[in-house]
Amino acid sequence: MPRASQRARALQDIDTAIEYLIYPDVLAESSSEDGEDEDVEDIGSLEDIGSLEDIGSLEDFGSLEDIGSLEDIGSLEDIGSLEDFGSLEDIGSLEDIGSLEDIGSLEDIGSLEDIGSLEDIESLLVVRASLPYYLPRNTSAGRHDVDILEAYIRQYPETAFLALFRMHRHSFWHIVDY
Amino acid sequence: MTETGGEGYWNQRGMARGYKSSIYQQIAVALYVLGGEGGTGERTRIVLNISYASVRAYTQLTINLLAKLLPEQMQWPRIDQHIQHHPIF
Repeated sequence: MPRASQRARALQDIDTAIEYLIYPDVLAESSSEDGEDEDVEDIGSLEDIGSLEDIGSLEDFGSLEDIGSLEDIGSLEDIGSLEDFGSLEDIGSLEDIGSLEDIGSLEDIGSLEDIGSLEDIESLLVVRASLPYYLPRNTSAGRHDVDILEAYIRQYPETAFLALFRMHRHSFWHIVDY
Repeated sequence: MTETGGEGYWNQRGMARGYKSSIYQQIAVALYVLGGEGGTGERTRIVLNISYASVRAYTQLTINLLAKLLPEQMQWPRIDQHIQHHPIF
């Protein structure tokens, strides 16, 4: 398989990931018919559990993946009975704490995830910008089709050339021709 | 350094085969080693994916040519300087 097509596919994957990060609600609406609306069901199961610890941890995590894992952990039988945590009167009624719908609506969590994943988008953009300089290193010694030295000399930016060879490119070519 | 080295100075074997070991690549290897970026010769060999002997040879060729080009700035120590710094010798 040629390397160019792999790179193109990697770029397309990154584009898709960035689109999913930037427009999660639009893409979720478009794909809700496919039964990917399970996050709402996760929150529904959270309502069934309804303990204070779950809400607190929900605020702490604040990401859809964590809610999904919470759904896996958090059936009432797994956590234990409500009396183990303390009586319902000690915790307080759910309405006093603040309704679960206010905390846990899908839009709020989605926006929270947007804020939290700006660094993810930045890192993805960094990855995309550095893809032209990516050289696969899973080679054994003696393979000459991976020409790292040539890539250092020709393709890498000026700063990298300066750090590697301690001189500017034009100086290098000057002394080569000297 | 191509003209100064002249015909037959640089390592011709790899150049004849058509990969690695163009003159500018030999100079680049030497600069990489002398710049200290590569650490040991073995590490340089692994990073640049060339042989250890090539790393040594290219570095030595470049150093010798530079010493020939710039005798004022770069020279091997004379025998009295050498004795001064290494009295046992």
